[in-house]
Amino acid sequence: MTAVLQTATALQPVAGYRLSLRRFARNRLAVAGLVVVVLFLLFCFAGPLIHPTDQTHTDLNQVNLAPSGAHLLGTDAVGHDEFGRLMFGGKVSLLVGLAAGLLATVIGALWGAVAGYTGGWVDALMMRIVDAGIAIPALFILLVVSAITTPDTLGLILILGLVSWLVPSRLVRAETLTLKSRDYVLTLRAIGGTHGRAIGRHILPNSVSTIVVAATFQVADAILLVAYVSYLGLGVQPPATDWGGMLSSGLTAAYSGRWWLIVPPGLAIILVVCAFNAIGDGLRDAFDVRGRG
Amino acid sequence: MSPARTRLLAGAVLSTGTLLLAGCSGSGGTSSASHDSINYALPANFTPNWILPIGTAAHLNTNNISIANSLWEPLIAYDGSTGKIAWNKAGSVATDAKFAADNKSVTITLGDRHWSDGKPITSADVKFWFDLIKANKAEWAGYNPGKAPDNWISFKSVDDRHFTITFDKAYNPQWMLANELSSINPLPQHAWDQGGDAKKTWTYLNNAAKNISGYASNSLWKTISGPYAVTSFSTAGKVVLTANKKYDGGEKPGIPTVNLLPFTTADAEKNALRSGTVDYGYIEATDLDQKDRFTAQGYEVKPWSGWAITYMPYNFNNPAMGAVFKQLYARQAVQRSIDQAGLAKVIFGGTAVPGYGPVPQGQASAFVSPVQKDDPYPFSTSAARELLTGHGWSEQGGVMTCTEPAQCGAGIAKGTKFEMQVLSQSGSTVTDNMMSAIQSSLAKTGIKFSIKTAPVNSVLSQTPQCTAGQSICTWQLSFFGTAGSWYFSAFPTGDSLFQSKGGSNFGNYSNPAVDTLISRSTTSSSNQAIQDYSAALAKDLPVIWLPEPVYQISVIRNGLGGFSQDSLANFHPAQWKWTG
Amino acid sequence: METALYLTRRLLQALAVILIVTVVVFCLLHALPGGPARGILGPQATAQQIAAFNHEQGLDRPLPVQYLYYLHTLVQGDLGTSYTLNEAVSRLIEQRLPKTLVLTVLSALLGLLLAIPLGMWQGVRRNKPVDYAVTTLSFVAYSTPVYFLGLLLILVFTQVLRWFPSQAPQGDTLAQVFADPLALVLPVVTGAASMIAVFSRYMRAATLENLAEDYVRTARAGGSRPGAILWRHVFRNSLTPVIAMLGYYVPVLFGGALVVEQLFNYPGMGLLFWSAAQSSDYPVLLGCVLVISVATVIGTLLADIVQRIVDPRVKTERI
Repeated sequence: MTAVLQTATALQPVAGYRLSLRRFARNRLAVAGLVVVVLFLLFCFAGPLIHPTDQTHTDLNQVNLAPSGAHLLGTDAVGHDEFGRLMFGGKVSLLVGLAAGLLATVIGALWGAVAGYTGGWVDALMMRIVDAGIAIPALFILLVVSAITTPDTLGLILILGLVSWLVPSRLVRAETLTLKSRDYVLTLRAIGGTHGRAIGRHILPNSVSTIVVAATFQVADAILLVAYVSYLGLGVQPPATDWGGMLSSGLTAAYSGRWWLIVPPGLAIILVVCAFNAIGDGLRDAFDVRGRG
Repeated sequence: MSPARTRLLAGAVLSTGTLLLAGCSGSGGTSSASHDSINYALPANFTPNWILPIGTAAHLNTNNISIANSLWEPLIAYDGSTGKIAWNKAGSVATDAKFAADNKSVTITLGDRHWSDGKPITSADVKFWFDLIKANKAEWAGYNPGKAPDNWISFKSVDDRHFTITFDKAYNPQWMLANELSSINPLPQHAWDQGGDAKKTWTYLNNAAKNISGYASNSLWKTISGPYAVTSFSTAGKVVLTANKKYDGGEKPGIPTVNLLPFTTADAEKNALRSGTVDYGYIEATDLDQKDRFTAQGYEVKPWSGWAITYMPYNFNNPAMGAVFKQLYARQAVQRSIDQAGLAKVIFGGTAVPGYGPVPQGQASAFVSPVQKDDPYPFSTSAARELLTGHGWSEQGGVMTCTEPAQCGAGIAKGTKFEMQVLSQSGSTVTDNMMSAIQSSLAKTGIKFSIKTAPVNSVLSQTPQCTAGQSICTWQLSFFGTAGSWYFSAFPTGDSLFQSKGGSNFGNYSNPAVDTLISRSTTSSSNQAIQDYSAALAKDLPVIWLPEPVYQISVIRNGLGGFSQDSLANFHPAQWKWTG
Repeated sequence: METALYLTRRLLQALAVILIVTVVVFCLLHALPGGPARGILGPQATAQQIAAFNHEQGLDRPLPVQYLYYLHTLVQGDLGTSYTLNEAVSRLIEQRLPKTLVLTVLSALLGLLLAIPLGMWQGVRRNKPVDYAVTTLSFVAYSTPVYFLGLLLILVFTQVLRWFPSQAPQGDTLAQVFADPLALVLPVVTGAASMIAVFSRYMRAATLENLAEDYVRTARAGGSRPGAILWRHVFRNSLTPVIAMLGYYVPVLFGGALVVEQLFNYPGMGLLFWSAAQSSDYPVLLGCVLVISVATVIGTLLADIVQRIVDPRVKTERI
């Protein structure tokens, strides 16, 4: 009886995925979110190939033009075409958001899994390091780092990933604690399996749903964080920009009525972050993930 | 409602909202300013924190000095408050300064003035300041070795209202008056002196000044000679000044109560301005197209030009590019790639003045040479390219590379790319836009210009004078001139900026011919010396000259007048009057 | 007894965390190239003045010595003196912290007041059109950058509609701040917006979890009315973990407070921190970071303790 139950629980993840996919597809918000993300990815990466604009050189004769046939969304304060700039900035926002979010989740998941599985003083030490990381304001670290080095795209990904991995680590640790007391893990250890095998073949695969959901929310948060960082002036340097940087320099024109500098990047951020949140929510419902994700 | 439609609706609301505001002009704020008070907006993120007219460099900035000078009137107020840079006798304690024929001493006459407690202002009060500074010069903000007070040999009181200061050699009288004597504030010796011990008194006064909460109550600060007294001074930066009824000088205060308001950001100040709670405020260059809204609200937009120059220093000791910077043709190519007129018109909205040399051009003066005024290096990227190609550079992959080292110059290896990076001041959209535009026009010449930004304090810390071996010498260009890089005293000498080893000569520019011209400008009695210096540096390009932005774009309520905006960047509350 | 041991262990660990934080922050600050002198004294300062400043502030001593000296003064309650504001850091924090607390506590309260019923409602009405609509709106609120939302609110409510003043209360004391409630509305709403989204999400998840629990099904089977079930069991059991999450939200609340203070000209801790960062005012920076870190550590400790009491599974961990 126990063996059957064990095999059943071991098989569960596989059958579960198909069921989860169906549940996800039924969630209209989540599907809409997925569509939005795909559209934006196409817009930002394939768009410049269809509608190329010069985003490196300024043109002081074409500043602050309202939207027209020549410039679908007008031009900004130094003459860049705003529509093209939306694609250009979107590349950075999406790339940094996705990469930083994924990086944060990967580091966090590994850290949390190891800490939760090992237990004891190692767990305590690792979690206190996480607490110290949470206690130091990320803003402070961002300020210091940006005062020392130039944050190019890669640097920005690394920095944002390194300040964001703390929350996923706690989630995965909680999940690991639950899983490691499950029967099949105890059995594995009893018959001589190594820790690595236990983590690699049972803990992590069974936490996948938690990790995937966390990853989606991390990406959403990372995109918002990039926008926040650029607002404070700590983001990428000109001529590169991202939606947050566009929004923050556009906001100085708020009272001048140049809505085309504000609404497009603002809407883009809201739509994409909303979309990722919807996807994450849908995934969580689909996988029936418990816990405070 | 489906989620997609909800999102569309949200977007529509946002756009409509912003469109509405675009068309909306501010509902006329009635000019209900009480004629008994005025609300003046202090520069963003600045809190007044020092009341004493003497102190260390950390405390004596223009806004603190403006407040201190309203309480303790300067001996010689040499500033631009009268409309041109001259000695404003109405706002000074001294009425006359006679230089000896050999220019090695000056005799100053005091007016018939009194402290707020009735005692007369005498030479003893000036001597009190003199002794304090002499004994504590290392801690004094205005101290430069070799200059005041080192070059003042002696102070002799002739009588209660006359005294003579002797110098170590002959000086240009205008320079001495404008740059050195103008820093003297007579201080109440009878109330402040601690037993004649200058060091003890200095410590005593500075310690008292460290207590901001005591500024309104401490009796030390109640013995004043100027038009205003401090009624309240909060640690958050709000200062309330009230007219000093015992003031017997020439600039009687026009408005009984002056409120100096601090603002954390320019945006916060602009919001307050729009709501009508500020009478004398400011906007930024990016807001100039809203001029009509402010005019409709009862304000006048009046740019406040500053007696300053703006530039990007080259680091001549930078290991990578120092040798290239040392070549005059390279600097000429860079300068010819900067379209100052275009920047001033488009980026600054007309509120900046192109500058071609070391003397401020925002105001007419006798100090600027015709060579500087006529722009020795007009904007032309084609001419810039020719300069480079004619000296052994050729374009590879869009960037000029040195292919003939013999022609490039000493120390420039073959294959050196003309690439430079600026560490620029962050926090200003106008500065960011200017840098983008400069990057673009330099790229047309084939020079790769990359931008890194940091808060201004970081910029200053990371771009000091250095030698090639130091790790801090990796900087190539710096920029801290969002509101003007360098504000001069009335007589614009370049000793700290451009003299070899000058204190603020961050890039280590060194030219012996220029050094001679600089020392001559302070000692010769004619203005020809400073004009020669102006011409020499306009041609030698120690830095990249940039358009000089105004100190601030003031927005002043209609009815406030009776003053000119002082280009030395001080404000003079006593001159403000509500007319009509 | 076991709880007492656990508490003592965690408290000691919390102290260790705070110590680690001070070391990291101190080192990071002093890793900034050039030092604060030139920045504080301005471009017109001479080399002597810079040397005098460095000596006066003890910046010419080796780093470990500076750190030990800092700890020594810290233990005596002295956080140093600001380079630019001419005040003791502890006094500055004393003045500014209450103002930020007012803002963040009010925002948190408003956020929770709205998020909790919202989340519960979403959990109960799961996947119905109402759930979708409310979820979308809360997503939008969460996804809007704080400064964008703040500016929109300012534009609409202070410039067009003129219902509220464009600045937060300008008074220095708490009494003065509360005397101007109209001015508090927009800043608090801006700060609460993203909180509502996040916490309604937690509440919804917790509600769903608890609705599926055995004791609810049992209660239903036993004939209890649906309303009573919700309020008595689900609400209480969902609420505690959600409130506990607040502890982890301290740094986020602070980040949001910073933006709100900037937008509405409200000189609190956020702005103190930000202007200290802009002007290389090390003592103030250190002081602010310390305060935030201590608050976060306390917050997370409380959150962990509450969660441990509420969730039996967590009790098995030995730490």
